[in-house]
Parts: sequence; structure tokens; C-alpha cells
Amino acid sequence: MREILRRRNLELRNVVEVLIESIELAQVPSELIPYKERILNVCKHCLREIDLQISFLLLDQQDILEDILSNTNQITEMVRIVSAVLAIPILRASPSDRLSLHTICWLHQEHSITSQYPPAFSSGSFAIYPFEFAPIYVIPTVEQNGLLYQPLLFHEFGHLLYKCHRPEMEDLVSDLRQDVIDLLRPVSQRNDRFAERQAKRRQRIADTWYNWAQELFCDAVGFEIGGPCFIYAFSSYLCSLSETDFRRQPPDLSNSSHPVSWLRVRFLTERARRRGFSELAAIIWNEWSMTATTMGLTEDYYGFYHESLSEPVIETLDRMLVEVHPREFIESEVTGITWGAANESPIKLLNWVWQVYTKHPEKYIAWESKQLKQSLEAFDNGNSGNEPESNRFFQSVLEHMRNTTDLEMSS
Amino acid sequence: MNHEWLSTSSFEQMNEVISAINTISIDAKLTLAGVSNPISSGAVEEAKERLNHFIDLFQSTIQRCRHEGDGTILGADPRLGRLALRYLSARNRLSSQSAFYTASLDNLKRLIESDKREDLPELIQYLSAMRSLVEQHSYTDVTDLLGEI
Repeated sequence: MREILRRRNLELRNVVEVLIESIELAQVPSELIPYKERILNVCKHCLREIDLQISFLLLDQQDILEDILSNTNQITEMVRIVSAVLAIPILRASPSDRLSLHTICWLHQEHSITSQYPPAFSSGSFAIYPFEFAPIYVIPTVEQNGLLYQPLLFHEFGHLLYKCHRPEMEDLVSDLRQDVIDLLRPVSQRNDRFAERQAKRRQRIADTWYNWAQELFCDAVGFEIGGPCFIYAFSSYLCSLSETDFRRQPPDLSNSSHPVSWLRVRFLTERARRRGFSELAAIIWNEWSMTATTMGLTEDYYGFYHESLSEPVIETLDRMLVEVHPREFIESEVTGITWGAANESPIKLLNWVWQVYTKHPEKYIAWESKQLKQSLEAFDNGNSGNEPESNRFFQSVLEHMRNTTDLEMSS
Repeated sequence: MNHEWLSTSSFEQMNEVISAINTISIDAKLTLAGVSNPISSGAVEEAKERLNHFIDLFQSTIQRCRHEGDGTILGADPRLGRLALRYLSARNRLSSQSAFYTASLDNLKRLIESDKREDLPELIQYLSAMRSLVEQHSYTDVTDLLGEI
């Protein structure tokens, strides 16, 4: 066994050395350099752990072989995660990553609790791996290069905020799950197999709400940060015009990671309405309702959600937001199109983008592509202000867009 | 919008626990053998602190499992709840095989903190059983993150 473990650790050492060499040689945008350095440190930590196992083996102690075996298994998993997940943002990096890197960087910098995390993302369906040493966002290939769906990163950022405040968040979610159980529990309980089945069903629903609560919280974070642009992006991206956007069967609901999209839209539009965006909320809700009507569907969550849960859910989400305190949009960022301030945020830009897109969807892609190209070039040519790079980038984008929107959109 | 966040958090938590168990276990075994440990005493103390923290969390989850009369488990991450159920189920099945399942987790905490050499063999047994339970549980997280071929 000692020889097997020695060999496995030497093999792992080779893999890590190859990884280090690949990462060091990779050309990445400057925005990704802090992440690259962090992942190199993770690799070097793995090397130290491997060397430690080899030094344990040299002690020639039979009793500790099972511990070395377990440690070697841990290192193997970690090295595979580096190779399969953590190294990807570096090894697949391209200059076009800069837009999404800047959005992520801005989000992290705006919140003191996440400011130490370098920006990084990979390609795939929207997601986040909130690793302690460096979270990785996942963005679809087309959406990572455009402005329209950047607001969905605010939702993924919500998962990182949840993790940073996990003990407080778990307490609040626990209370909500108790509310769910209380609403489902019958007034009188039998002591037979039926009662046992019902208890298991209640448990499944309560467990499902653990996942759902976090997703609804992330939706709420997305709206608090982005305002209307988040709802537009969310509604547009999530509605794939499939029946499952509106209704899922109980086996598919049980322990599902996400609530039915229609339910998410219900909570999101309710939040928008409470924040004074009644018209927008009505437009979005009507779009979803009309699509459902066309499909012949009505709301039915098979006991996983009932109207009586609305109030406790909203209250819980509000308390969770108070705990994490996300950077909230301000009115001037979501209404009107004015420019001139030195510290414009991407929120203003992204809300403006959706205003343009909803008015002229057919011309939007060409317009956005041109503006982004010019803006990236302007950014590369250098800005010498004292603001963070992410801010300068967004100012540059916004300025170019402002100068050309009216002209090109009216033509 | 996938659920990688769930697997990532759970994987990190379990990885930290297993790593702490191994560090303490190796230290205990080398102490009994009279062999110098290449790991610093500070790192061993950190591992003890991490493991104790997890045991506190695990204990409170187990308490909730016992207190909910109708069989529902609330309060914790359902994945941690399932680990607690595995523990309770194994406790019923393996009652004569491992002290980890027969004695209280408070006893494990006492053994972790103990400076007495005579406590080390029992500590090693506890840690081995606990590691086995946690490693089986963490399989789902690893396959969620890495998939299978």
C-alpha cells in the first residue's frame, strides 16, 4: 500500500506541475491576473500537501496509511477540481472576457465583504461556484460578450453574498421552512402509514424550500442591485416558452434546485411593484400570464407553494436583504438618460441598454457591437484617471453609447 | 442558473472536516508511536478547532432530527440533515461496533481536547468512524462538481 500511495502522490505531483506550467504560460487580460495568481497559489498548496504525504510515507508507520490514503483522495479531488473547474477561466481566457470581468469586479468592489475576491468566469449555463479561495461565475458564450444579460450576474452574486453571511441566512431560511411545515401540517395528526407518508411529503417540500429560498433571495438581490434592467434580463432569459417555465410535475418539483420560473416572476414583479415600478411589473406579469393562457396553463404548484406562503416568503427575503445589505440602485441610475458625472455605475449603463433594446430590438445587436468595440479600444488606449479601472471602463462604454444612440437609432 | 453553489459549499465544508480528521488522527498515531510529526502543533490545534466547530453544528442538526416529533428535519442545510440521518441510522444499526455511534459526540469533543495519552486510542477509533461517514456523504458533492465517466 505504501508503494501505491507513493506512486499516486508522484503522479499527482506531475499533474500539478503540468497545471502550473499551463497556467503560467496562459496569456490573460490584466483583469484576470489576480485570479491567475490565486489559482497558482492553490496549485502550490497542492504541491506542498503532496510532499507532506510523501514525507509521512517515509516515516514508515503502518498505522497512518489509512490517513495518508484519505489525504491523497482529498488532494486528488482538489487537483481534479483545479483542472476541470478552477483553471478554465485562465486557460480559455480571451480579450473579449473583459466586459464580464469588469461587471464582476465592480460587484465585488462595491461590497466590502467580497472585495478581496478577484473576478473570474467560465463558459456554460449561468451559475456560480462560490469557492472560498476564489468564486467562479459561469456565463453562456454569447451573453458574456454582450451587455443585455450582464444583470443576471447580480443574481449569481447573490449566492456569494449568501455564502459570506451563511449563519444568519441559514437561520432565516430555517424559520421560513418552519412556516412551510406549519402551513402544511394538519390540525390533528394520525399515527399510521398515511401520516408517515404525509410527514415525508412535508419534509420533501421543506427541503425543496431550502433551495428555493436561496434562489428567490438571489433574485431579490439582483433586483435591489440592478432595478428594472434585472427584471427585463431575467424575464427575457428565463422565458424559453416551454411549459416547464410555468408548471412542473410534483416529482420534478421535489428537491428541485430552482422554483418554477413563473413563481419567481411573481415574487420579482411584486418586489418591483413595492419599489414603485408598478407599470413595469404589470408589463412583465402580463407577458408571462398571456403566454400561460396561450398554452392553456394556470398556476399550480402541487402543494409546494400556496398563496398563504407569500407573506412569510416576502418577509424572509426582506430580512435576508437587511442582513447582506446589497448595493441598491438609485433612482438616477434607472430613469432617464443623462451623462456627465465622473463616477457613473454600470447600473445606469445596463438600464439604459434595456431601454434602448425594448424600443429598437431589431437594431440593437449591431448597435451594441459597434459601441462595445469602440469602447474597448478607448479603454485600451488608456485612461489616466484615479478611479478604479472597472469604473473607467463603464464610463467609456456609456460615453460612446450616448454619443451615438440618438443618431443611429433615429436613422 | 444551476445549483453548483450547493455542491461547492458542501464540498468545501466536508473537505475541511476530512482534512481536520486526518491531521488529528495522524498526530495522535505518531504521538503513540513516539515519532515526530512533520505537521506543526499549531496546524494540529487549528484542525482541532475546525473539527470542534463542525461537531457543534452537527450536534445541533442531530438534536433537531430528534425533536421534530413528526419526522421532519428543519433548521439546517438538507444535505447536513441527511448526514445527521445517516449518523442516526448507523447508530441504530452499528450500536455494538463503534464508539462513535454509541457514545455522545460530547465525548468526542472531550477526547479531541484531551492531553492524556491514554485517550488517544479511543480518539483514533472515533475519528476513523467519523471519517468514513463523512467521506460516504461527500461523494454526491464531488460527483456534482466533477461528474462521472
